[in-house]
Amino acid sequence: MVRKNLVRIIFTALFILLVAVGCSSKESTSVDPGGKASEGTKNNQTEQKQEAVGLDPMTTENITLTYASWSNPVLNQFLADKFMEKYPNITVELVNLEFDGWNDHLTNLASIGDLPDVYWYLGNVDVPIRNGWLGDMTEYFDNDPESDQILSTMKIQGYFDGERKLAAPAQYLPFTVFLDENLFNKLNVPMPSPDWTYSEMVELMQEMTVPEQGIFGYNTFTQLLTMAPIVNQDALGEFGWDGEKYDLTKDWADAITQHAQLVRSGVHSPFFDTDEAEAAFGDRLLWPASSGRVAMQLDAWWTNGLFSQPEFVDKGIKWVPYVVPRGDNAKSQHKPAFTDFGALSSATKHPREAYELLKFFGWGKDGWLAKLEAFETLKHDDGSLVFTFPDGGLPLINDEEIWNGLKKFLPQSKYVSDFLDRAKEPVPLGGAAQPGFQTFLDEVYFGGEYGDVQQAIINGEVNAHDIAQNLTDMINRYREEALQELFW
Amino acid sequence: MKINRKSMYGYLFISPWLVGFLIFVVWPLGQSFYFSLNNMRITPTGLQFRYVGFNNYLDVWLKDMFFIQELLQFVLHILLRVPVIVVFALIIAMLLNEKVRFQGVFRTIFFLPVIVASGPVIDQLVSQGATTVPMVDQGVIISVLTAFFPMWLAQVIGQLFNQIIIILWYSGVQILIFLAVLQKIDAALYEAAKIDGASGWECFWKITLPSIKPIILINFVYTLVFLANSSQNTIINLIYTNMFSATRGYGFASAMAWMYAVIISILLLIIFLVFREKETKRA
Repeated sequence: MVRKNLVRIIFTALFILLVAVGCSSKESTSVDPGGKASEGTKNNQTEQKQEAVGLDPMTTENITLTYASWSNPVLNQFLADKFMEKYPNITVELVNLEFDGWNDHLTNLASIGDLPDVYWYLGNVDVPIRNGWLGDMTEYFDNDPESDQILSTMKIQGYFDGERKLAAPAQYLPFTVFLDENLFNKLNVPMPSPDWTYSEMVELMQEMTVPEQGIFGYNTFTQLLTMAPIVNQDALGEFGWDGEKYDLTKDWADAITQHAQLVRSGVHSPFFDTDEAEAAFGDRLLWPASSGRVAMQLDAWWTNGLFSQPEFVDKGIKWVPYVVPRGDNAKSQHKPAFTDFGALSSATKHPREAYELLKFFGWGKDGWLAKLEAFETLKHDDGSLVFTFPDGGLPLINDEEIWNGLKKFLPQSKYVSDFLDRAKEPVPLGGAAQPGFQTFLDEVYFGGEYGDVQQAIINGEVNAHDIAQNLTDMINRYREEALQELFW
Repeated sequence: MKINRKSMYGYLFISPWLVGFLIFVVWPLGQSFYFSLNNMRITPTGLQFRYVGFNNYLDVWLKDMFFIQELLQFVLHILLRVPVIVVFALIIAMLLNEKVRFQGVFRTIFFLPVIVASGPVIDQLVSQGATTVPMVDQGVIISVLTAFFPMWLAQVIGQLFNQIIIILWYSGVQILIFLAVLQKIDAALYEAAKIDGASGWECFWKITLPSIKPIILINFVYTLVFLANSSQNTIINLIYTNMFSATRGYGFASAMAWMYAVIISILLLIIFLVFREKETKRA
């Protein structure tokens, strides 16, 4: 009887051993002659090592994370699938919200306790701060070896109270100055160097204005007054923000005064839906950038895709991208950039995993590799690519593999290459990055004593230098008050 | 008060409305008043309140630079638009009350905007310029009006012309109410007046208008309340904006909504005092 039991125990143990061997990971036992599997194993080991060094391990329990951003939904789904592939125990649910009233939708979700674990907020950071939505990710961010890879000007963002990392840039789209190369050639004006300066740009605007041929120097979507303080003062934000205080008395006042003069002197193209536009283009609703009679379009990175469309090419317009020029005496390559911020919910039950999800969709290398894969592989039913131009912004990390990978999907031109090489010190703008900023805009800059300040200056109703000090005092006060009010 | 079987039935019948009223009107009213006395945070784990007393009410008047401005504009618009809508509704109702062919079709046409142009549809129509008269150049009207009126009044009158279609669209319900009361006026009164030699004009002033005076009050009240709650109303939009504003929030917006409600109530009271039925003194 004892012998019979002993045999049973031996067989059971043998069976368990065989099952355990049979179920073990393929990667850990097989040797791939091509080295791929071993490379994968190496990567995994590196990841595990990285996590062991800096970050707590991810949970092995089955969990669900919710995610909301206004990125392309197809791309979001692809990235979510890739994340779930990497972490099979984590389910990512995308929360689809309408872009219009984005923060209102988040407010509604928060009010019923359904704020997504990871989300982007739109424009005004005061909304998530005031309502206590921002989860503290300082511990994860500071201990994450990948954080060292983040572009220097982006890494320092999101410390709204000066201590805690409460949000992180999730994508950035730099300001872009488009030059019509064909128009420059027609007027025999040489194209500027990719390292051009701010004063060179303004001189070129004037040089390229030929009233007798109906050619205008520039048209704005983005503004000189936003660019000038950042590139000339090496500022870290709009209105001369140096990291502690705003200062509108220097380059902001100079730039808007200059812009007003350029508008009045006809260097700037006529504004949309005006009699001047009708007189100049024969169509008051025509976008000057599609007229073929504007030398420079001050715009943003996302317009690249549009400008390669037949609508422009067929008219003989060849818009080529330049970075915002550097200041004449600047020490940095700071460039203004539209920057979207992501955050963790303060109520998430899985902050460690939520951080990883935010990173994956934002600055993480694995996420970016997945994005590049999406650009290359995602196709419509008819076989055409879903992304004819890479969606979203530029990589937030200094990683040659990612930057070179992205270049493959962009027009193969020296202009683009030069642009990318010089767009790695983006400076985020306004309300998304600075508490109190949006309220200042609403209550003072666009709706205060002077009405719309910019319009008042352009109309010659007020002198920018006369009001700059007052505006500087106001915006600094608004920031102080916002910080006191928001963190209660 | 004695509750008998009959009154019990009455309460039973109105109980669905009563429950709805308590849940969807009284409770939110109380809640919004409580909100207005606090600064609120909508955190992912629940609402947080910080009691500030009546400071939000003070801030509405002292800190918000748009509220007073919008309120004055609103009052000016009301003074012009409410009479225009009510008078237009009365004229159309009197025309529709005549025995004409396709009377039913005309009545439907005038009531149709009430059904079609409501909610988001009206917003779309306004934004697409469907509610303006293309041939009416507001600039020209304002330039003419400024010769007689100050700029602020000229602009308000100009906007009235600019939005005349939408304003007239708002008269559907009022036409229906007037029509109902016009049909109730005893035809014998008109016959008697005609026999005594009264003209149509005199009949209107001496018979029609006094007969429908209580309904004029109702239509004035209805029109004012309708315009005050319209999605086109800039104060409603201001309240909404403040509700989701980071530095203001629900507390401030609730205080603004309450202040607005008080102003509307005062306007309603004025209308009531003007159009109320005065007791006739017996000799």
